[in-house]
Amino acid sequence: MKMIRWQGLVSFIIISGLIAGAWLFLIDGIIERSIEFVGTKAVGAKVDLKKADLSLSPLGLTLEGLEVTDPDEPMKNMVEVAHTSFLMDFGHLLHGKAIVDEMTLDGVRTGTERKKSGAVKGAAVEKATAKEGASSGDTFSFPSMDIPDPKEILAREELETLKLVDIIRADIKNGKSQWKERIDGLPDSKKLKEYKARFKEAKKGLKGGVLGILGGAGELKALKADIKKDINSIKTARKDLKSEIANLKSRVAQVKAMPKKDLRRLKEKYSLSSGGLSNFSRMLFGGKIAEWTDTAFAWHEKLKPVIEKAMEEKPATAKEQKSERGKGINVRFREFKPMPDYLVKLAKVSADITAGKVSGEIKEISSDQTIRNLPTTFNFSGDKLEGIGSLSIDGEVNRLDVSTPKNKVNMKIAGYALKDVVLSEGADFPVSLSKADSDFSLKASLIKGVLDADFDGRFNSVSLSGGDKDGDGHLKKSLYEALSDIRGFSLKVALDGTREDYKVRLSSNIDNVLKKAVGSIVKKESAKLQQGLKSAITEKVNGPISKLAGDIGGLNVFDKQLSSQLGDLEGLLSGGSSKSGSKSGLKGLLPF
Amino acid sequence: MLQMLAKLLKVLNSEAEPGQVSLAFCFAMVAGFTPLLSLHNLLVLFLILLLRVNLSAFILGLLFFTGFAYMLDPLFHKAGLALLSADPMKETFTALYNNPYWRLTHFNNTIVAGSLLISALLFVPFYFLFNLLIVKYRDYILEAIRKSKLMQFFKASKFYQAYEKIAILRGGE
Repeated sequence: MKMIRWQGLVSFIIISGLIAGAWLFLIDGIIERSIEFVGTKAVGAKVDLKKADLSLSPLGLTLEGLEVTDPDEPMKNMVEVAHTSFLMDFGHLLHGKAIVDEMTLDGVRTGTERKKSGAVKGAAVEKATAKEGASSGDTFSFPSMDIPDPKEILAREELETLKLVDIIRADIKNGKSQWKERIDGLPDSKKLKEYKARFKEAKKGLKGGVLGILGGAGELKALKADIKKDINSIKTARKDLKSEIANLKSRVAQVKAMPKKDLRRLKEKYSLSSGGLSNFSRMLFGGKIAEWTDTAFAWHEKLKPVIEKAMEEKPATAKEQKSERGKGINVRFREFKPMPDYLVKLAKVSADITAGKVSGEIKEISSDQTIRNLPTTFNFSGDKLEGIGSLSIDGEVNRLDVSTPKNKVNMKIAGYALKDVVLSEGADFPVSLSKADSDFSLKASLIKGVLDADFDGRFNSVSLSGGDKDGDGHLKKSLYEALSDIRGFSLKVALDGTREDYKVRLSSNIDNVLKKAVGSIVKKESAKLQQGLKSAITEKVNGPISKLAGDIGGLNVFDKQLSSQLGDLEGLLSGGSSKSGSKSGLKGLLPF
Repeated sequence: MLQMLAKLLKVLNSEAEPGQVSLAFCFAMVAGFTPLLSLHNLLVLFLILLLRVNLSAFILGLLFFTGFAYMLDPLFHKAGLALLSADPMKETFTALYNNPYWRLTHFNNTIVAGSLLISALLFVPFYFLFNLLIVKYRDYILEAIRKSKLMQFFKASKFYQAYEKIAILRGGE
């Protein structure tokens, strides 16, 4: 029997040729769909690619029309790249590693409109939930520039004085009913009559022989003890009553001091203090800075999943991995020349922004920076831009220590022509920067989620405008006039904290200019408001406070009542005349 | 299903050399146990086509062993992990791992390594076992069945008609 089947060899060659042909025919489509699938999964929104073209010699890939949807705005692209091309190392590719020496990205644009929504089911919900949780750190609002009417203020504000008056009045009312109850339980005129009757009976007994004398004396002794006990109860009650009245009087004295505190509180709340003006720049620029900070954090959040997913830690040993049914696990051995799973050593980027073309380089885009011990760095610059003298941005994404992720960016812009920038949109005090030539620098770092940024800007040929100068009050008018006279100012901003809780420190020489311009007006207006508030508060609290004194006077009735009852009992005991006119008493009837 | 069984019987009952059928089953075991799209299976395909092995037996065997491989997955994984983690082999595997062409074979995958190891170990014993079984089947069972009354009755059944149909289509091999 012949062992070799030669026609089989021909069949093998034909089958292999067909497989290779089909691969070459289909590979572009497979790459295109793979990029779209993997990209969509990583970003959480649709990634579209118009065309992918693989060349075998030299091994390279060209991508046309890459569009990455913004997960938060599915009708916009987060990034669009017109043309991408790169060459790959074939040897490393056989190792399953995509190593690119040089990549070119042309026509990079951000925020472009999409024809169709790029939303992906499920992912959008997750993003929306995440966004809800995020909030900006400080919020900025302009204080009202109008000095309000004191009576209007009192109509909507609760006075602490009146609150305390109500509490004391309630206590007095409560006290009165309690005292009425307590006095009812003390010896009254009925009890006095009883004592007199017992006294008479005892006196009769004293006249009825030796036994009668002894019995009468015993009764008189018991009577005296009972009366003394009642006298003590009344004395104690009187003492308590006096103490309570004294306490209430002291609280009323406190109430009399309360209007001053109310006045201070309302004045601070409603008047524009010079302290507020010293931080005018914060009010003016704070809103815009918070807005820009939120935008920066939002961009970081958008890029974070892409960066983090790419740099996911892999289990060190085979035993740490979990075998998937039918797939097993890939055991990693020591590599003689270790390389990350993917690496772009140099990416040359040309981006189209509204002002023109910005070009730059990104170095070491890698799935594992620790292998080559190099962080991802970038630098961009542009000098023939419309409305911008020069621009330079550089920074790094550092994951050399995986437990301490660091992102840094430095930006310098010179001769940036600002036009019609709305600084304050509020109806109270609208301000716009009509025009300015600015030079500024920004240094920012985000280490383990904590932002630390410093902004230093100088604004020249400034024109600030806003509001109706003629229609507004003194204060606003003066402020607008001062603002319109400003031709240049500096601004320094320091930001630190997390996305959820960051602090902004802001300083500008604009504060001194404004303080000088409107300081005296503020003082005058504040004094006027203080006087008006003082009169209105006095008018409102005087009545209730004087009524309190009358209410306390009502407690004195109980004191008089107690005093009268005490006099009657003491009269009975001493034998003096009582209010009831009795002239005979216990005194002198007993030998002990 | 009937046709598959008929095909198997056809192969077993044919005049084909037992060695050709056994070798086909053994190659089918390698291709069936290991992940089909592995590089070594290109070599198996090459050998199947080049050597005079029974193609029908290979296809039937491939279907059988592929289905069976799913049950043996945990065993393949354990065997592969043990092999790849064995200290004496470490240097060799490290050298292979650093060779791009060897990396293409996915030898460092536990399922690939385990299934290839087991099918390679079973290749020669199974070749002789299948050979023996085919010879014994033809000598004793086939003859006895042919002469039995049951077979006479069976020849009139639909199953036999299907078997016959295939035999005619194949040119009465």
